[in-house]
Amino acid sequence: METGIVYNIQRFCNHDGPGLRTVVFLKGCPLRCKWCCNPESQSQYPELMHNPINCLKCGECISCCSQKSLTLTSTGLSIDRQTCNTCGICATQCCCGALQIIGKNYTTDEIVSMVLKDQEFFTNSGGGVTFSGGEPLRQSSFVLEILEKLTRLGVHTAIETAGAVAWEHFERVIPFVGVFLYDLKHIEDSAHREGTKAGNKLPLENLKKLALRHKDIIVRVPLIPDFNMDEKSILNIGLFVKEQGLKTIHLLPYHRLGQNKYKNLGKIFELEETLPPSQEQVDTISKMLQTKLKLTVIVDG
Amino acid sequence: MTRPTRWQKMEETSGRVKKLRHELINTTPEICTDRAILISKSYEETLSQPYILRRAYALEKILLNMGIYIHEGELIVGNLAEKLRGAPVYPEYAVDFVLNELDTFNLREADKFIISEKNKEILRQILPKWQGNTVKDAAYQLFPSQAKEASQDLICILTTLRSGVGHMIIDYKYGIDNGLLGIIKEIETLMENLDIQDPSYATKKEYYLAVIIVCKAAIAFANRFADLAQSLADSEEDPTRKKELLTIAKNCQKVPAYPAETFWEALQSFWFIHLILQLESNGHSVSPGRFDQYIYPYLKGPLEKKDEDQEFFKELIDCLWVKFNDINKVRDKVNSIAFGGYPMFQNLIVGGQTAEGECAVNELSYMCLSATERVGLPQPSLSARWYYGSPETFLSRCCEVASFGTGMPAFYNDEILIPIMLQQGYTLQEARDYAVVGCAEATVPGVSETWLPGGFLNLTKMIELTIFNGHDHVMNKQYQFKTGEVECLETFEEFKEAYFEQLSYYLKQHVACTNILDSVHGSLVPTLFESVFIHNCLENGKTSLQGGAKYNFTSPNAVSLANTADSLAAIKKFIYEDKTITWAELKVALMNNFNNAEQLRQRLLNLAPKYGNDDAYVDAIAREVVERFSKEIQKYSNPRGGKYQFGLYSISCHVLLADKVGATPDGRKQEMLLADGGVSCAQGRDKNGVTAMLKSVANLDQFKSSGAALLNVKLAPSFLKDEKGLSNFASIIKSYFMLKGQHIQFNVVDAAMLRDAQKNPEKYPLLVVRVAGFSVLFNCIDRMLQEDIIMRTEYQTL
Repeated sequence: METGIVYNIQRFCNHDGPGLRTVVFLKGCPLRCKWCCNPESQSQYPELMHNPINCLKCGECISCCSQKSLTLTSTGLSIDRQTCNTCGICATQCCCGALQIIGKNYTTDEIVSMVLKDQEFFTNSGGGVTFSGGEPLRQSSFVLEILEKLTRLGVHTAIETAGAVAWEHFERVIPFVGVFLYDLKHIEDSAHREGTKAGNKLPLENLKKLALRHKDIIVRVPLIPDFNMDEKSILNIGLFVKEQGLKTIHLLPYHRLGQNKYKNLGKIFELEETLPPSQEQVDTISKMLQTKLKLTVIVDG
Repeated sequence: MTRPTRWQKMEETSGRVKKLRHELINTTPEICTDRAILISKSYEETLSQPYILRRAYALEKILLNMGIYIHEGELIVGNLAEKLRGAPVYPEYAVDFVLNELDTFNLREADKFIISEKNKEILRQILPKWQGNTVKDAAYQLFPSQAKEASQDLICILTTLRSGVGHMIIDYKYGIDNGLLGIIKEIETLMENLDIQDPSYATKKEYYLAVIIVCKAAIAFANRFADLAQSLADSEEDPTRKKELLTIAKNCQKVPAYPAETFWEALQSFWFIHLILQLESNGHSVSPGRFDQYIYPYLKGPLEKKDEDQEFFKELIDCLWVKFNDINKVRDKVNSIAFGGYPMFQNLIVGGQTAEGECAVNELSYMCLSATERVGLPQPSLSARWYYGSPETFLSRCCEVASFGTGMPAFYNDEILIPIMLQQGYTLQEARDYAVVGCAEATVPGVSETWLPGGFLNLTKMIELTIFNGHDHVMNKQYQFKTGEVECLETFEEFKEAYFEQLSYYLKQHVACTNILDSVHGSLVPTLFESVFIHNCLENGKTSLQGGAKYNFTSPNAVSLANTADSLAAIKKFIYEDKTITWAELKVALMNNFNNAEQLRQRLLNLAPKYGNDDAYVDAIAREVVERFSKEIQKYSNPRGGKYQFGLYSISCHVLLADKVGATPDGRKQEMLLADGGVSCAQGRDKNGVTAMLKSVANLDQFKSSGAALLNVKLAPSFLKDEKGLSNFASIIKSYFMLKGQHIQFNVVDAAMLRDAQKNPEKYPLLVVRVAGFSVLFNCIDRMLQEDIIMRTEYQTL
């Protein structure tokens, strides 16, 4: 049986596909988007996260750390991430849930049984499971095995991908995916590289191929100020989508809800100063895509 | 597309209804004295009469002499007290609290009542004469000492000590369709046919004479309104209003004496009957039941005729809906916390199946939903029944109305409630005809005395009494009943058994008190008018409170199942399995309310499984508590020859009882509330979303709690902002019902708005929220209850 690394399994999701859904978040991503709201999804290894809001500063964790990576300073708990080996013992001793190990290995059966807990809700709402990330297709063997099992049980399936993986990973899962939620961030390679630290050749090519093979694809565009919200960038994305014969775009306006997680992981959030787009800006973009390109646009999807 | 707000929907009602609504919510409730004066006089005049006739003459005197009014614009008439939203006084139940609180009713933070100096004087004169002669006094004399102690210390709460029993759904159809004159004829025939050899000839004959007196008085009461309407019409200059008043006069001449014929007459007849029930006794939860079934025949014909004024039918319903909010009741201070927000629990249910098992949804079902949406007031407590065959359009309309945030309708599951009714001994036809009383208590209308106000038991207090071996460290008091030093209980099983012993002990005390109250109500305050509409009372020649009804039950309730299950789970895990916390350590921490033990509290709170997260470890414990309680309660019978059952709901008792329980092993501090609802999880502890919470709750064997299984869910308005959210909303309800949940209701309000309403109450005069099995105006409830509603987990869109 395959195993994979997962950092969250979220039940009762109203978005990310039809009906009520359970979203399985897989760890590890080839992109490093500046605006990423799930920074804990990027590394494919377990990470130690510390949430100072919950922390009692009791020091229980310090005494059990064999690496001596934890110290209590005037500003709270400090983690030496150079020496920390993410063994996770401190997290098991943390009474208030401030320390957590993000990312755990699961077998496909474990995931299947957790997803099936909400089967009644899927049946009544037309919902099911969505694999998100990170980049779920980076662990395509793991995902495939789960998809096969769940499809056999009649559960609707969705995959949210950014497309930056080799085509073969798509190829094998296609028969078992109800809907693809395909992130498209920018059509220009250089801009894409600037925003995500990777080029967009692979995502664009994969989307072209996928559109020929799968009829249910929803393109999702994060709306990032100073990156892709100008008319040209948006229309280029829209045109590309239309050229592939696709009809629906979801717009996901940039937000900063993930900001604290950067600090908690010892990472730096580059867009600290960037404000989320206004409702008006989002409406303008939405209207533009609808009127100029006759696309179906849903905000937040 | 953005959906309209509840405020926009409320604009859709007519100018007349807006005016009536405005007057109502801008009136501070007042304590009224007419009823108290009249009943006192009557009791003095009838000293030598048999008790049953004294009750009849008393109600007659009230109905013939109390102050009545018809407000400008009203289409349905009939008032409970001489002032709008006024609360009459019912001295036969208790007078102690009225006298003690006369000067403080108007100072209450919530459930405030004003009272004029003149009325205070009147009450100070007449009420002392009642002292020693009330239900409360009679019961207190009879309570065994330990049982009395448990109730005084609020380990158990008795709700009918100072108030009537109420909690009924009578056979309204019988009254509206036949008219009281027809019914009087039936009673006369029964009286004529009485067998002179019947040993209870005398009591039966007295009973018949008594019910005839009250039926005639009810007709005379209606006729007083006819006269009033006529005289108002005589001096009315506006021709439209004049015409209305003349029709009102005609209606009140005709109903409830004669069978109703028009829709308007049917509503007026319904209202008089409904009103007189509440003048007879102040027991709340007098519930209209299946209104859309028994009223529909009066609307069906006119609706088919296109020339009739359809808008006027809607307006009539709206007027009646406003009227429901005029009914009020003054409770003592303690009960005003347990029942926060002037709730009257007049539960009106739509949809479901007919007695023959066919779909019961009709045009009136939808019209009732729309009336609640448009009028936007807390009463009637609107409910909806669902079964596998319910039309999707009906469920989706119910969801749409509920999405506006008034907490209505609440949803009930035929697929479990009908089997429950069958198991209770009702016939299939009766079972399918069930309706809901008060908060969430299912019963069969017109045939039952279910004694649903069987009081409340605080399940979590018994955890404390088990840990401290019968010692109450909050009150620093040792109770007689002990289950052993907790350190000597070597396994979790032993601890659990000790807990169940405590529970059984206090249940026994509670039943003793409840049965005494049952007998006292039957002998001192039999409800004659009610009994006319409860089947088999007339045949048996006694009221429902004396055992005349076809079916008899008593139904106490268990409060804070969630804190109990969470506490037991924490004890099991830390003390008995991991052995990482000792009893000594835990006891000290609990006694000190976790002062200097925050780390321990956090462990209890975060590292032990919590009910509401689809976690089998703790869910199994919750299920076992329900099962044991059910097994225990089946041992008991009531004086009316019926069995005990139990329900899981708390009204707002979880607020009242909270500080009576010290810190608990689930990590709750003394000042924190107990879990709301009945089967809801503790506030904010469900971390895995609605679906996981519902799985936990559905894991309880809800067949066992036949008295109710009340579940509160709070959804963020953003979840319901579009069609997809609405359709997912419906699927949540359906799924929960397929998992065998009994009942579910929703608060759809965002915390920010509630916070704003706390700061600026004047901005939200019409903000209705769901507390438990009832909705209230947010501004009318006290701060603790407001905080409770804000704190319950709000499910966001993810």
